[in-house]
Amino acid sequence: MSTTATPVGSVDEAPEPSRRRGRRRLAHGAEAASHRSPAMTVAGYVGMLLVVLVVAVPLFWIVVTSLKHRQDIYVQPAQWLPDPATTNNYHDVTTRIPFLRYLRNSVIITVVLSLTKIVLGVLSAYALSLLRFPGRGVVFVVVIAALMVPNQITVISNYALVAQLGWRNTFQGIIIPLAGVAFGTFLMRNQFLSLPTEIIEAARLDGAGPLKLLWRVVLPMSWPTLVAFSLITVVNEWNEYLWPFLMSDDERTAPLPVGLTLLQNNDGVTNWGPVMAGTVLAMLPVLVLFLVLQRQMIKGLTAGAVKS
Amino acid sequence: MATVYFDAATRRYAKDAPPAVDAVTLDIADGEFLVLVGPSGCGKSTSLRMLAGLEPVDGGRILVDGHDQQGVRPRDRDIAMVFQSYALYPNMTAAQNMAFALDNSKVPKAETKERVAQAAKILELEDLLDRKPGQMSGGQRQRVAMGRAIVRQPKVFCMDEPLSNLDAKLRVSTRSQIAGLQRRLGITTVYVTHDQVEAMTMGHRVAVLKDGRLQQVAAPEELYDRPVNTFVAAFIGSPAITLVPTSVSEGRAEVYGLPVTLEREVAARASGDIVVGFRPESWRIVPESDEGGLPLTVELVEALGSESFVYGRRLGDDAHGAPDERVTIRTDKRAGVAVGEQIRVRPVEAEAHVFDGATGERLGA
Amino acid sequence: MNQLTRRGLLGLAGTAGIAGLSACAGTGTSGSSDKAGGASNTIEFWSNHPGSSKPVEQQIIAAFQKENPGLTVKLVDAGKNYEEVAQKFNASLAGGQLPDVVVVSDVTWFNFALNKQLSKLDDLLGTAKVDTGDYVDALYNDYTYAGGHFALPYARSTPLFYYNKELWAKAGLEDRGPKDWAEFKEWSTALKAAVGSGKFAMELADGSNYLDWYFQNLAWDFGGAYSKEWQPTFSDPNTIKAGQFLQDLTKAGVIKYNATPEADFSAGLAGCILQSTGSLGGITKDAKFEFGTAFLPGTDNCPTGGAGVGVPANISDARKANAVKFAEFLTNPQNTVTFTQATGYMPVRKSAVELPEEKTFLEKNPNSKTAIDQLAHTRSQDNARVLLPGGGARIGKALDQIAQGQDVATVFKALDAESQQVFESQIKPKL
Repeated sequence: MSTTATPVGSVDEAPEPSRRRGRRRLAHGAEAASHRSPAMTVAGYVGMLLVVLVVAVPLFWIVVTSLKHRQDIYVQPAQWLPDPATTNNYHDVTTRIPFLRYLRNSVIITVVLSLTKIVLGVLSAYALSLLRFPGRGVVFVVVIAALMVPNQITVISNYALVAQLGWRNTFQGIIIPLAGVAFGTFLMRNQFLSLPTEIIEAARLDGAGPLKLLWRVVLPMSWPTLVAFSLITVVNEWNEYLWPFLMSDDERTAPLPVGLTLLQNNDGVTNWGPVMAGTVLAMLPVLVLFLVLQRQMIKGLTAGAVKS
Repeated sequence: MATVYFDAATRRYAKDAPPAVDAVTLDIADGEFLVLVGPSGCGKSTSLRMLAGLEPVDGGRILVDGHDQQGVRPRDRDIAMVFQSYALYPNMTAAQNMAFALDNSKVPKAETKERVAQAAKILELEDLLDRKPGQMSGGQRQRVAMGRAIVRQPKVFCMDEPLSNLDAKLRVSTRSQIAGLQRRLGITTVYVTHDQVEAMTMGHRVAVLKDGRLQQVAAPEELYDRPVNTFVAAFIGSPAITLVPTSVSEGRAEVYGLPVTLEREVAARASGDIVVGFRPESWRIVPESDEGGLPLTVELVEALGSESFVYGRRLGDDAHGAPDERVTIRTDKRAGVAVGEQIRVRPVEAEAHVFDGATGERLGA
Repeated sequence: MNQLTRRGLLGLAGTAGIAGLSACAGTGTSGSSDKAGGASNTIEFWSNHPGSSKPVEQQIIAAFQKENPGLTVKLVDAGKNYEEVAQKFNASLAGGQLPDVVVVSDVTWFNFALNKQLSKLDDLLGTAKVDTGDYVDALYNDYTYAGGHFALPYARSTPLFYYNKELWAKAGLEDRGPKDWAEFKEWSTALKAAVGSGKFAMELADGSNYLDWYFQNLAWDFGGAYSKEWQPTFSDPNTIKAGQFLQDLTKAGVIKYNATPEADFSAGLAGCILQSTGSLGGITKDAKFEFGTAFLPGTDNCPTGGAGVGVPANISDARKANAVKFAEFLTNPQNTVTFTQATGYMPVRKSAVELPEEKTFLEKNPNSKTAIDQLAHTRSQDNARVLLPGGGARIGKALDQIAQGQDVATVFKALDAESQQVFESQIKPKL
């Protein structure tokens, strides 16, 4: 029996098993993990090393190949460092194909598409999770169903529609059909639903209108997910191939992934040096963006929102 | 500042399910501190959320200052709420948290600043204004949550178990702070708790709910002294009252074999099965030699310093009752009894609470 | 995600326009030929620039425009390989805005012809007074169907036998390719010993990389074939013998399979390979040793391959006439020489080899000459590979199974049945 003045009585005194109890137990888990046997630690590092190798070696190989002379690419034993190194491949990429125009197209398409997708994704997810309107469930099911339709099926019919609008080889023809966002809607909706309901309610009681609620309360708490979603979107759009390939006819609208294929030989031996150089150049912008944003993703911003 | 009136307010989560809040009628005066109390699932939180506009009212009405709140959006009700989890905005500092509502209602910046400063002073938050919730302790967060409500100077405060996440000591001190603050600000407050100590010590009046139904609304002492039914009697009071089902004949009832004479007016209304209850302080330990005393085996002694509670079990071989019935007795500082010991007790007849055996309603005045 | 994620919908009003468009998967109201759009004096040429030929194509286009001032040719990047061009062409067939001239490969043209999406060229060529007799017969007749021709040969290739001369010397072999596969088998022991461990006497492309193209030569050498007209003949005893031969050499460790055998060959990891003539330029640049080229083993049994150019059926007659004019220009003796010297493909005109610049070129490049000499010994491919939908992939898969050691007769018998079934269901009703 407790010696404090807690209620003692015949009435059920269990604390309310309410949904608004906190949800953080992580601290305990982290503590437990730090007490491991040395063998486990070593195994852990070996595992990490393996994963790093799996990821890093191909990347390393791409970079190294991009710096090799053509004759040094296919040799046995393999050259691990370019000897002698050359930047000719990079020069090749920028002269053999109109690299800068492809880059410009990629930037235009990626920026416009990503912004559209992020805005649409956030707004639709917000409507489907935190606003009440009739038919909300049906609309959500339709969105999810859209996720299930493989794009190969819709490509042809979209092509027909866009071609009839006379939008072939235009940016709007490439961008608009890609601008839908079932994935973002789904991801952001789940994120919004995972937010503590009391905070949303508190903001409503504090007089925040729908947009203010989204901008000042919901989004700041969803920042890591939003950044991850944005990054995924940017990478996806940057690498988008099939649709831009079908829509574009030449370097006026074609993005980098399409342009870089011109470096490959269709039928015969490809000179991989310039292809790798082009790959490196195409990778850089996304890599930089990732490095800038990754810290944002890791930060959990809901800490301290509810309970301790 | 405002009056609040629940007019047979009802909330039904599903069509066939029994209502979570069943026709509750409650009249809360301007500036009153009303505590809603009851076991979990009794509908107290739901009632509060209905008032705040976070739950719809499926039947009846809720009036604030005489105006029906049906269809009024939460943000237009001018009601501030303090949540059990505090629900602070994690991305804002304490000051921003408090100023958020004022910003939304376009209060001039200078006034906002002034009001936040004032609230911070009252709540001793001045040093914490630039911190985010993640950098604060539970008690500090709780105070920010209070501050967020205070700066709005709303018509009504709604508080949903605001102390249940604090440790015991902090809870006791914060309890009196909140009560004192409410008296000072004079804002009508509805306070939900399942802790009856909070209920008894903080509010002007206490409303006891069970299964969505209002059982009794009264001042704490009244609730304790004159519970309207066995539920309220058992719920209010710690340790709990000892309730003994028995029957009445010729104005007398037997409590564990002891004859108890009922007050005349009670006796006049009682017939057949009744329940007789004695609170712990209504028992006296009598000498072992008193053959008329109820013999008990001491099971547990809670010595609280200024007083002690003795939990005794009736001797099992007694022919008059089942063996598992317990009696709780309050004694002075020095109980002078030990676990396992046998004692005899007698109730104070005048302090008997008598209830109808079938309905559980209180009999007599 | 990507375009399948598009039907965003979002009940938010401002976005309704965009969402509406992206949501609708409109089907082009196809039908009339003028839906195909396009100005009649602009010729859209859809090419994947085989053999990295974009600059050459532009050069030829410039020459064409100079000769025909009223006409403009728009070169469109239509894909990185033949399959992508076919895909893009397919999309345009559904949606309009057809090209005027499109590159079609040996395996993609037939399906378009069968579905009446390519024009029969004979009349058009007749009107344009093109001497079709000057096209290399084997190459031109590859595009025959229903008594007509549906494409003109453009970037045509055959496989060649590439061998490492240093290794040949080391193994004590004559500096030439094997007369037939039986001779190669005799050589294989010496080659295997000479090449050393970790390397292979011969590497072949695997089933996903056109092993089915090269194996045709083997099957023919043994008297077998993939099919006779439309009748699959995989379970013919001679075809099975060829399959068994391949399996035996594989088990003996003589042959290895690889996605890019030309890379291993250039690195000195493989003693010899069967590869397209299109790889000649690349190997010449990559290999750090002396190598030779030879006819494929056997007599008159080298399959043709590569791509031609077709003209869509659903465009106006005026456009068709212009399209044929350009297609002919692209493949005329002068241009086929320009094109093939830049890429390694083979001249598609008989008279091309008589041109002085070609003669000089061949003298300087004996390896290129091998391909042209071999041209006289080519044989059109079997229907089961090039005309049956999915034929190449289907045979490639079966050959992979054989290389992995599955029973040859069983695999080929199943392939026979499968091919027959595809023919019955997809081709026969349309013939």
